[in-house]
Amino acid sequence: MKKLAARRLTAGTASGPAMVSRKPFNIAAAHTKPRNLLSPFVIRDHHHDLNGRDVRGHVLVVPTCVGSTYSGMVLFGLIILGISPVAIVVQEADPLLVSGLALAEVWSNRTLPAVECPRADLFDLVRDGHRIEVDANEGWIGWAGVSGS
Amino acid sequence: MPLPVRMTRDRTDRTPNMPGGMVLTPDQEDLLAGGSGEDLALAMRTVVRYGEMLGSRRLAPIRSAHLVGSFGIVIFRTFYRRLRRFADAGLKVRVPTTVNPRPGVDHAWINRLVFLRQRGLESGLARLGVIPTFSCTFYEVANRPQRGDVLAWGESSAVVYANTVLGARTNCNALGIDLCSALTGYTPDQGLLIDENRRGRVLVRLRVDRMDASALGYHLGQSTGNRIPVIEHHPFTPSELRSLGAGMASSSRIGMFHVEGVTPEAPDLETACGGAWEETLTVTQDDLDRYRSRDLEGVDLVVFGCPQLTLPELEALAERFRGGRLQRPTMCCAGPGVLERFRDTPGHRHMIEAGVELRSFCPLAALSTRASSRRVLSPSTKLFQYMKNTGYAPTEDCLRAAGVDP
Repeated sequence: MKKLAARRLTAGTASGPAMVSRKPFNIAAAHTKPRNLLSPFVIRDHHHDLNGRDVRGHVLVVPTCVGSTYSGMVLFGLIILGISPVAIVVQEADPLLVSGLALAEVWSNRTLPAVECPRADLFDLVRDGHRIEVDANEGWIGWAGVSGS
Repeated sequence: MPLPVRMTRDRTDRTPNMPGGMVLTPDQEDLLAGGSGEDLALAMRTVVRYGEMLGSRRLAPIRSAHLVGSFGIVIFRTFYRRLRRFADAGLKVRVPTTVNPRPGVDHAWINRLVFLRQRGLESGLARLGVIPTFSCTFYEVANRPQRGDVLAWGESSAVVYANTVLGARTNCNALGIDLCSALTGYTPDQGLLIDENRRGRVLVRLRVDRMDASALGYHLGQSTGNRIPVIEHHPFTPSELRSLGAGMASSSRIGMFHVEGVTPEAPDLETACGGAWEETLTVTQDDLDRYRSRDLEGVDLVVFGCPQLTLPELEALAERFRGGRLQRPTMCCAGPGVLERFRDTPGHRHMIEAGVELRSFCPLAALSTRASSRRVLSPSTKLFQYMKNTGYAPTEDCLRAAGVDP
C-alpha cells in the first residue's frame, strides 16, 4: 500500500473511494442550493467539477476550502445528519473547513477524520476513484490502487 | 495575465500532531476547565480546537468582535439552539460585539419562509449583549477599533477594511467561531495577527486613466494568487478603499492590502513588503474595464450599498439624485444607524423625492432568495460575484441606468 504522511485535524479512521478535485472546494456553494433541500449531500455548484456528485461514503480530496464564512456551519450540518463525506483530505487546512470540524466536534461530539497533506504532488498521486484509507490518529493516508467500482 | 493560483501558507509553526500544541494562560485554562461554567467552557473549547487545527500556539485577547450570524436561515437550526443555550446560561459577550445586516424579512414571502428564525435569533443576540447595529459597515457608528487592536471579526469586507484602512488586526472568522470568541474574549493568534503574514507580496503597478476601485479589488483577488498586494501610490478615498477591499474579498481570501503612502502600514513600498516583493503585476485600463456591463438598458433594478453605504457616501449619492426623477427602480442600502442619521438631512428628501428606495437590510440576502429573476445592476463587484443576473458597472454608469444625468 502506498502511504503519505498527513497532519491530523480531527481524530478517527475511515476508508472509501476518493472524490478528487484540484479545484478549491466551496462548501456553502455546493450544499445550499434550493435543490439541496431534498438532497443536501449532492454537490450543486456549477462552478465546480464535482458538481452533481453525492459526497456520502466518499473521501473528499481537495486543495483547500474557499467561500462564505457560513461554510463551516454547512459542513457541521452535514456531519450531524450523517450525510457528509466519510473523511476529508486537504493540502492546506483553512479557517472555513476547520470551523466546521471544530463546531461538529465540540458542539455535537460528532466528527469525521480529517487530515492536512501539504504535498505539492498530492493530486498526481491520489486519483478520483482510488480506494483511500485515512488514519487521522496515526497521521497518514494510504491506497492500494484503483477501486473496483 | 492572471498569475497561477498558489497556496499561501501562514508562517506560523504547525505542530506535527495535535493536541498539545497550544500554550494557555491561567485565565484561559480556567475558562477551559469550566471555572466560569460549562457553557463558557464549551465556547472556549471551540476556540481552542479551531486554533489548534490552524496551527496556532496561543490565544490572543481581543478588543472587539463582529458576528456574521445575522440571518435566521432555517438550515442553521443547531446554531440557533446553541446560541439560545448560551443566552439561557446567562452568558454575555466579553467585548463590544456588533452584528451583520438583517436579511430583509419584510421584503418578500420567500424571505419570510427562508428566514423563519429571524426573531428568535435577534432576541438571543440581544440577551447576549450584542450591540444591534445590523450592518456590515457598523464601524461607522459603533465598534470602531484603534490602530493595532486585535479583533475577532467576521464579514470579509469589514475585515479587509479593519486591517487595511484602520490598521487593526483580525482574521475573517467563521460563523459560530466569531460568537465563541466574543463570549470568551480570545482568538487564535495566527494569520493576520502575525507581522510576517501582513507583509505585501505582490507589487501592483497601475497603468490606468480612469480609476475603478471596485473592479481593481476584484481583479487583484483573481490575479495575485491569494497573496497580499501592495498598490503603488494612488489617492484613493476611504470609500474607494472600502469598495476595493470588498471586491478583493469576494474574489479571493485575501484579508488586507496596502497602498503606498495611503494605508497605515505602507508609508513606503519597502516597509509594506517587509523588504522586497515577490512579483510585480501591472494593471491596465482593460483589466478593469472587462468586468463592466455595457448594457445599461436591460436592467430592472439598480442597487447601491454592498457593502452598506456610510453617511458621507449616502450624502454624496443624494446630491446626484437632487431634482431628478428615476427611470428605473433604484435601491440604496445602509445600516439602520446610518439611515437614522441620514433622515435628518436634506439629502434624504432629495432621494425620497427622486423615488429612491432606502433600505436597511443586506441587499445580497434580500435579493438572492427572491423568486423573481430581475436583472440587477450595481457598482459592487461583491454583488456581481455572489448574485445571479447581476451586472457590474461603476457608480456613474449605475446613476445613468437609474435615470440620473451625470
